[in-house]
Amino acid sequence: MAVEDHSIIELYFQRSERAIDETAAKYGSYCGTVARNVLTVQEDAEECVNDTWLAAWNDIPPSRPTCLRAYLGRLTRNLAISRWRFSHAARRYSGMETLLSELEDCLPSQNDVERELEREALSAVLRAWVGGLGEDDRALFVRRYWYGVSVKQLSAEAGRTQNATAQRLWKLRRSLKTRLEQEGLFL
Amino acid sequence: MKREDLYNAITDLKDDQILAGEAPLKQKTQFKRSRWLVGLAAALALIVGAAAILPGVLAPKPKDEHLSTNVSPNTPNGPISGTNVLADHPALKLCNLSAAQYPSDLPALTDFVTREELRQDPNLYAGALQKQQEALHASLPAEAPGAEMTSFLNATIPQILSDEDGENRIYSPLSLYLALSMLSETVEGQGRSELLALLGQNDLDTLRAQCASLWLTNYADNELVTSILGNSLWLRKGTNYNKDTLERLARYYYADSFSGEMGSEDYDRAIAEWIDARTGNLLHDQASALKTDPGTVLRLLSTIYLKANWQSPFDEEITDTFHSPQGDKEVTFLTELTEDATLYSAPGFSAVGKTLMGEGQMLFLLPDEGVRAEDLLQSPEALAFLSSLAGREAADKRNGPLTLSVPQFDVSSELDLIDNMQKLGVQTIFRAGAADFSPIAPENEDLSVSRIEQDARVKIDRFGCEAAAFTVVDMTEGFLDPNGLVNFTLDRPFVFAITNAAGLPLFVGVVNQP
Repeated sequence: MAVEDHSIIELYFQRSERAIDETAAKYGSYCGTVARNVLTVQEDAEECVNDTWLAAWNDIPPSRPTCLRAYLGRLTRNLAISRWRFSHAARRYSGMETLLSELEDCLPSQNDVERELEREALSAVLRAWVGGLGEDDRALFVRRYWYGVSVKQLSAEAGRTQNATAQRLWKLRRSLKTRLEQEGLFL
Repeated sequence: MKREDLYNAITDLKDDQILAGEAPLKQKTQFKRSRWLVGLAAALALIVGAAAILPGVLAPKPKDEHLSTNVSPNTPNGPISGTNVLADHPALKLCNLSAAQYPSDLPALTDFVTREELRQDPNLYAGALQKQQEALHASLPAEAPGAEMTSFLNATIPQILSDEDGENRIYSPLSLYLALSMLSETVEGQGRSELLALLGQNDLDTLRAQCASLWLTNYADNELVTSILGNSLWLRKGTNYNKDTLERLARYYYADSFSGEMGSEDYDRAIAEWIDARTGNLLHDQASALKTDPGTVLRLLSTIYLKANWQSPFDEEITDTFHSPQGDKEVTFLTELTEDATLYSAPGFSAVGKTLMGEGQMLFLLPDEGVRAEDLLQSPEALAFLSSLAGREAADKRNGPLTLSVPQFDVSSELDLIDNMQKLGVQTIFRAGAADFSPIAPENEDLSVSRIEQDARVKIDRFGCEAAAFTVVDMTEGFLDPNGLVNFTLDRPFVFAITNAAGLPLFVGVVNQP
């Protein structure tokens, strides 16, 4: 039987390496799915999940997650996106990208505090927008853009055509764009 | 702002939003349109006022995302997953004395069917459930419960649901049974004898086995059914308690024990949050209104939460008149046409059952014209029907096409049970100093039970039902023409019961005002 989350967190606080074993046993499959949906390559996803365990080990304590499942999912997604970006950057770093990247350092950067505030505002607006969606739309948006589930899979789950699902997603993206613009957030 | 900022903002969605997206999307609901429905359009037109097809929303609206995730049907399942949700609650961490000792290595539903298989084919549920229940029973020390509860059901249902106040009344026999069973562990002598007599048990050993069996066979937290039980003890800081009794309650009743300042806002809030976490926030207002006072020496709590979809949703929603004791009222009716339904009939009533995922049922009993719902519950035939599968087998049955119309309801009630308990022969524990509570508090000689109360709420919509109850005990110092269509319309006060797969009623209620 799976160990309760609070017990796993206590193991982290006790600095017991069993914490990682129990986390892997309980959440390995879940985090693996999150990583695979971003990275698509099994080996990369496995490495990413191992990075998740290490990140959790380094973060708890002092962090004490209120929902371990969502916490680990978030860690995995962040790490998977970083890994994806790194591998894509590596493939690009041979020509123009390299030159542009080097020159980017010369551009005056946006004030860090200002950018952080903008990020926080974006996060708050996104949470509120997702919270205001109907149950079905919310599930659709989160499954597609958080879990990275394919349109084909989503269509099968909902008993819809792929065209109908894609159209629904497009409407959701358009709604989000409008909301962001209303809030003065431009990408 | 860069593109990656949007990626990151999505990563930072709230916990509940992330968890809500984990399960596969719901299939678009297909309305059942049988040939019978077309053929009977004229009959239905008699009662259709205005059709209003509204999406059913039964998901609890939790106020605290952390707590709610543990009663979600999408949480990892197993016979007892998610039960110790509050163990890391900051207000409780300091005061948790004795944690519930859940049995390990129990068979889980997922031992017999995978989640993916269940998603693909919900019909696999019944077979897996049966195997799980068989495995559970094989691991239990005593015979499966059933007959032993009959006397308790027959005694308490008519007594507790007999009031003639025209209000809705909902009663969870299982919740009261578990609360009184825990109470019987805390008292000796005459006090315990009276409780055991009401519970229909001869001794504590049999009662313990019975309660463990009831607890385990009614615990489900999987893709289709959420049925969660919870027990706890709330102790007063500074009072000495018998640790052996606390451990027995943890071992046999899976009860957590907590200690804190009776009468303090923090302790009351912690109790309310414990109840909310185990009842899907369905009884949030009632739990928040529950206060302790400094004279409370011990509080026992037993909760039950059930959430399940119908095996097939109702076809339509229509607006029509319900004749309540307070006058006629326009309400939403949930209707369906079933080509081969079973209509039960017995003296005083007719009844129909609607099956839930997980093989439980909701029974609707319509009293005959001139018979009041409360009076119906005094009849042996109705009680036998409600209490067990055998009782239902004894009723007359006819199969055929049937239109079922049930008012959509969301009803709740608060039952003060002390008077009922006294009428049922439990008296000693209510007299200060008369009962021997030394098994729990050996140094307090002037104890009595000052409160036995049950709060319950049941709601149904097109897609399913959700129900919750908590029982609190405080101890202080000082029915068809086979050739034709039957319209079974519950448009006047009626009785309902929600039963588990074994036929045991988990909730029984009288709806006077949907």
